[in-house]
Amino acid sequence: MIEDFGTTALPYILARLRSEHPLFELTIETGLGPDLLQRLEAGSVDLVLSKRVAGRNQGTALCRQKLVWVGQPGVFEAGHDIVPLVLYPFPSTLREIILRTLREHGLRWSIRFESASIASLRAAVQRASEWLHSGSA
Amino acid sequence: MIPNGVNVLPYSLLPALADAEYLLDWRPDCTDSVVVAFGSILRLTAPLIIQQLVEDQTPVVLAAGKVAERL
Repeated sequence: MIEDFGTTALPYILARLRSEHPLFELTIETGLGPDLLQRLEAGSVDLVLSKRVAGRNQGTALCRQKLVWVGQPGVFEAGHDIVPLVLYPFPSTLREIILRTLREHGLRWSIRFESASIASLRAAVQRASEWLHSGSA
Repeated sequence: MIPNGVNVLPYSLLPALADAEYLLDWRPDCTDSVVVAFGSILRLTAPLIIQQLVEDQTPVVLAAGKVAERL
């Protein structure tokens, strides 16, 4: 299961599952989508909820999500020539989408923080102005 | 799912990103009833929960009861 879903909806879903199957035993792991899909192919997990680029996938589509750029005001503005990034590590799908988009538009970037933890990524973005010198962006 | 204290940056500043899609993939030969039930619940609830989270934009972590109320 991808981590952003695991930190939001999972408690509710587990509670409902417990009510329907009181004796169930289930092992749930969070991780990066491509890693989890590899494990599915290898047979070491039974079910994977992942996020991928829309429109070219096998699997049961649950919903689409519009992706947007977010940042603290002033961290990246018009005139800055290098985009400072806070990203999941390789092989994250979101990382792939972001870097491919920048590459296709001829933009330069600098990966300033990366983590597999969404809590760490959120904290890094929320406090970027304190540790990211905007003049270098 | 946008953290507090940050803004959505306009596409005039950075190019539009492709949409992402949440997908559920199953091991084809899996017949475990709990896994099947878990997958069914995910299939039914995940779109609603994700939509709610995206629309609200504020919650970072929701307790189980809170999500149940929203549904």
